[in-house]
Amino acid sequence: MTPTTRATATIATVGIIAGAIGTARAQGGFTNRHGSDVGYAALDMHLMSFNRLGGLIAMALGALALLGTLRAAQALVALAAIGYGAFAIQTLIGFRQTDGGNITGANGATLSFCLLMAIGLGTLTWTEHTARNPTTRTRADQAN
Amino acid sequence: MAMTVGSDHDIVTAPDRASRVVLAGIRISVGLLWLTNTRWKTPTDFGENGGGGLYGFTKDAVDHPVAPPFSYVVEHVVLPNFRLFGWGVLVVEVLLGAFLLLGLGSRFWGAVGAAQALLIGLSVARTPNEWPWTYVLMIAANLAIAATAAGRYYGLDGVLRPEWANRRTHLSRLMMRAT
Repeated sequence: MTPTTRATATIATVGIIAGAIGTARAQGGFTNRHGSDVGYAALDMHLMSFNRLGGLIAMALGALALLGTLRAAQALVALAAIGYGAFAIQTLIGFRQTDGGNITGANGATLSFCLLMAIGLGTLTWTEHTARNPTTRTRADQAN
Repeated sequence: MAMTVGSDHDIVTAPDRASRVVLAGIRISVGLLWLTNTRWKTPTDFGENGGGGLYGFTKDAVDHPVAPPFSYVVEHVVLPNFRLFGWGVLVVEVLLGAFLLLGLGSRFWGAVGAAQALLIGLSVARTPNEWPWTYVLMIAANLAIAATAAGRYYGLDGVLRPEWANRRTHLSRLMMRAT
């Protein structure tokens, strides 16, 4: 396992764990706009917030990224990165609305988490892609 | 104990394992601090309608001034355009949480975090029941991340720098400076 694939697997695992905890702690309806915190409230550690739908999406995207890493299928990791990016956009749109839009029970911390996952997986996939494809790198280098 | 790596003209002293773990721990803790505190900065009014939330803390800069010139700017520039300012704060802090937890661009984001902590301190350090040293510690922790390039240890900077070092693109040069 290269450092890049190890880092990708670590980030994917974080996504799976966060989504699993979010799903387990979620209360109320499947798309309850008031999500439950992943964290430790007694120490004022309120990390991201999910309802059941949000937790399941985070977990599924993490599992997709891990599967892509283990099978050396960059397209799957890239798809997971795009999925987390879409989740971030939905969060941004959803929590602007006072009623009905927040279908994943997300808050600002969830937005930060989704961007973390999207940027991390996306950057690593891009790096892995260019490392495996010397033509891309040579052209980029020659351009400078 | 530290070990020396690199060629004769490029001597770099790498911290030992314990130091690397501590630096990664500081980076992740500070990243979690920023991430946690984005949850109550809610668009689109950011507390302006009720006078609380981010609006309330920002207004503290006027009600309990730390530095009068800063209070003047908050009163005459920030508060009249508060929603725009609120979005700016949300974007910066959301990205601080994401990038510091990833350990990507840690020199740059550590410096951004120190600047943001300074602005928060200038807003609320003299508010009743606040402990001003909180903001000194926040600035120090973010500066420590920037100064030590803490993302190189158990972070993406450490994974990606060797790759960037082999390239000659503008982006890779920029990332080498930011990490």
